[in-house]
Amino acid sequence: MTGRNKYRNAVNNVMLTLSGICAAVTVSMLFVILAYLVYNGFSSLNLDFFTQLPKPTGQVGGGMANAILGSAQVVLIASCFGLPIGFFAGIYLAEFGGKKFCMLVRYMADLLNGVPSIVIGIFAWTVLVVPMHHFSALAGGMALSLMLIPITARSTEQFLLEVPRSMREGALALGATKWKTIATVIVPAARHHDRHDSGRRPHLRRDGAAAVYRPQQRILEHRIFLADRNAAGDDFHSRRCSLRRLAQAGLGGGTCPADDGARR
Amino acid sequence: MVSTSETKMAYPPETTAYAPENKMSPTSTEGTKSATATAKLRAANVNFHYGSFHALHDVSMEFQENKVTALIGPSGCGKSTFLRNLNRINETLRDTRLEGEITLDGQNIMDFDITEVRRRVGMVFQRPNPFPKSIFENIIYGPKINGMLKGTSAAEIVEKSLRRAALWEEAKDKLHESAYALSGGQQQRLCIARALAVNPEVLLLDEPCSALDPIATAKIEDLLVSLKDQCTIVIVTHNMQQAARVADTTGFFLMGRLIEHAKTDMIFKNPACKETEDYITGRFG
Ligand SMILES: Nc1ncnc2c1ncn2[C@@H]1O[C@H](COP(=O)(O)OP(=O)(O)OP(=O)(O)O)[C@@H](O)[C@H]1O
Ligand SMILES: [Mg+2]
Repeated sequence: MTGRNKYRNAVNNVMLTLSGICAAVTVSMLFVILAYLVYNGFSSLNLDFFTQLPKPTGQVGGGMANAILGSAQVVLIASCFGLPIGFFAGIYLAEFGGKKFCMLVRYMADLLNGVPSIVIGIFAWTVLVVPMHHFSALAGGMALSLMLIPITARSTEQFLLEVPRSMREGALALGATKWKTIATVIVPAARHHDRHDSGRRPHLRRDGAAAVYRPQQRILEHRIFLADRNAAGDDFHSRRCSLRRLAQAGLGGGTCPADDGARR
Repeated sequence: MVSTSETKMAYPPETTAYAPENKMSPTSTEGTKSATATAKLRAANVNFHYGSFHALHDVSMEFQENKVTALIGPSGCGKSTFLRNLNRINETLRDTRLEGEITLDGQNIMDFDITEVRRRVGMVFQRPNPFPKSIFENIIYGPKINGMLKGTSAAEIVEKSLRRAALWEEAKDKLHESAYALSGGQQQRLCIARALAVNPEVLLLDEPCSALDPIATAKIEDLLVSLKDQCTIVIVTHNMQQAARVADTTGFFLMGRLIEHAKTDMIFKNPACKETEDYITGRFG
């Protein structure tokens, strides 16, 4: 009996140690890169870096103001269009839609989601850049919003579906209309999912963000799997993180937790 | 033991015989006032289908005003299904079909605006389902969406509802805390208070005490009895003692049919149907 227990404990300890080491290795790569960046780059960080335009190649000084401002603009424009459209489409999918039409929308959203960003870039270029005769934040923002819509829609749908039926029925039974129920109970409940679910899933008690994160994670992992098989897979990979953040911001889920922290 | 095939055969004729719609059931004859005139809610020949599954067979039943009616029967016999049709909450399920007529104060509930039916016919569910909001907001939710806040202060409504649900003393110091900070029994009473806040004329309760301890259960039972003069109550329960304690009349369901609906005393002491007796005495179900 004790021999068996010893063996079981040994296996347990070995596995714990192994997984711990692997986790440490994973994180350490990130830290090495960060440390390297800070070590070499920190001295160049000053006010100019944030406020000045880049100097021509070879010259010292200058900053990245245009890139910072441009990113902000692009993200802002993308959020203005992509988030509301995706959000309401997600509400439709989860709450209103019929079976067939929803299937179609879901399929299209997933398809759009798997389109390499270069293709979307070319699309924006053809539709916006060429007729307007110059690159613009608008074109960039539109391209990004096109990527944002399917992700926001699908993750919104997932959030809403995770809200238990009983919550909907509670509101409807008080005489709420369907829209009122969605706007005043279901969406807030999706945001507070961890709180009303904490009894059943105590590990989510403290980490609300994880609850918000989970359904998206599911979608995204599925998507990455697809992306790996097409040429632009790694390209998609690199953009998914910021997109996820945006998708979350759209639901008011707050900031995205660090990738490693929330993965369960 | 009653064999299934035997029971199946036996029901249809009996159901019609006991349908209060056609003949006076023992309940109605017992009523002090003219029984049919005070029927607050009446179901006539209700059939209900979940997709291809026929869940309710020709159920006809009357609920008298200011009375408590208990629905009993083995698991899966359609009690919840029936209850959920009374305030049209089953309409939210896809692929369902309701036939027959349900009337509230003599008017078909299908002719009402759906939100009005649900406001007038309140519902408390088996598991407490407070909203992820504060206690105060939970209670005020119904009055707010129904535009009932004009003239009365929100605080007043909240206090009154909580008092009616016997929760005021426990909750008055944490009105603005999350409803999830309450215990299960308190949450259930909060849900009752929430339903009461819109002044429903009928209150439907689907096994409201199934998750509660005896003390909380006793409180809710007291509450039901005291609510009687303000509304008509229909309660689904698996607890025979509970039915015996709170209900004026009791309906026994079996396999989607209403077998017998009579004064509670009659059902428990002298049931007219063999199936009822078997169930009450614990011989099946
Ligand atoms: N949403 C649904 N879809 C399909 N069938 C359902 C659905 N809800 C209930 N049923 C079926 O209808 C029948 C009656 O169910 P119902 O929930 O009304 O039983 P009940 O009497 O309330 O049982 P319990 O005492 O266990 O709550 C059951 O056979 C059940 O399988
Ligand atoms: Mg039930």
